[in-house]
Amino acid sequence: MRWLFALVVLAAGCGTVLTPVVIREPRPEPLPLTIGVHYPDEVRSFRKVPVTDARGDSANAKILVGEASVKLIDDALGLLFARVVSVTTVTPVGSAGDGLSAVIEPRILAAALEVGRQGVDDTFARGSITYGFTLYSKTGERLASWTVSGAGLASSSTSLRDAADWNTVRRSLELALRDAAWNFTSGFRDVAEVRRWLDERGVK
Amino acid sequence: MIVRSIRVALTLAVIILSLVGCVVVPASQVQTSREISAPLDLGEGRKIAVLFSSDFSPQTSRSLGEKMVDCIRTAVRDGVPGVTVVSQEHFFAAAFPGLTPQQVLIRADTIPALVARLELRQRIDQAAIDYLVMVGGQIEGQSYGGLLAPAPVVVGGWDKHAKMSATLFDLRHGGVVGSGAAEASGSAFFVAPFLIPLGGGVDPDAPTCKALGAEVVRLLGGARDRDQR
Repeated sequence: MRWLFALVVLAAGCGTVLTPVVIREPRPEPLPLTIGVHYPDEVRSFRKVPVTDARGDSANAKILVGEASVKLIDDALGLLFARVVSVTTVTPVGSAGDGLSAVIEPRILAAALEVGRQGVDDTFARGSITYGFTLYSKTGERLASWTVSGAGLASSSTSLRDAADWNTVRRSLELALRDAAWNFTSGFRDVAEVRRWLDERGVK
Repeated sequence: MIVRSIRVALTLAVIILSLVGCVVVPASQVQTSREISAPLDLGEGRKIAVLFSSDFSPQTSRSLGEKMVDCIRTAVRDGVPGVTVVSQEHFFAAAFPGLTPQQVLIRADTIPALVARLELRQRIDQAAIDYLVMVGGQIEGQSYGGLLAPAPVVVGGWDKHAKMSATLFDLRHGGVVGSGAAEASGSAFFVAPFLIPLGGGVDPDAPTCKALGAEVVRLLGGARDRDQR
């Protein structure tokens, strides 16, 4: 517990910055549509992640998951759609809504970290994240709602007692976000309600 | 007389224990296997890429993955003359220019989709890279240790099991055409009276890694033998 606390203290201050990347290959077939994206404030400010060790002890770490998620989802939507427009509400009015096919609203449902040992020399960190997505028509009608999860495993040959190993913990969460973004882009067309919406618009 | 005998015994013990520390797993104790599911076709002057990706093998630590890549690279360089092993950097620069390895998902299920794309197919053909070897493995085990109180003697050790594998993909269609594996166990024990460490054991990592390289050479060697016939 003592070293877990030390890890969490290391991650305190302004919070750990995450820089996850979006998988660009294999790339999804882009949809010829313009999508609006609305991020609720609680998504942008999400930064409390529980870290659990092998004995079940837990502490909260301050990690800027929300900011990283906004950039990540923007990039993922940029791969999926011909154009992405940031909107301040799910029912944009006037020129803000012009040309939009729909508005998508992401939420962070859960984020967690688990740390422990594997083998003789290695330590590991396992990150996980779950997003919820809701697709709205321009008039605010809910078209589809689904969840997407991601998991990331990172290991290191040094002890988690070392300060340098916060990098392993951070990397596991970055990999989880990357995995979630991949699951989002690769599985978007497979969500039944989304498929129906695309069919109605004549998009394959 | 008794003191002298004890001194001689202690000196001999130190020499023996020091020698024990040099023991490695004999090659015969590393179990290997390989499987070819489709004929290989690797001509003179062609290239293969050997990569470690945590997407392909999430359980493998980066340090172990990089070790395996080195072992295979060395083995192929020495054992299959005429075939070049390209580095990860070279492979990504040739196949995915402008992208970092993190931006590309290389897994058994995505490789066929990747190489099916015409532009990527052309880039790989141009670079003359025919096969992709993906590595994976794990070192499992446990360590123990403690103080033999009240004597100032520390004892400890570990048991390890190293398991490594290489999967060979044909980049012309993305399918798996063969695989090789190597595994071995080892253990070490030490006693440290007055904090002077004495002991030894067998570390399975290096011989398993070397044996994996040899298996990949045998997989590729089959292709070379056929070409020469």
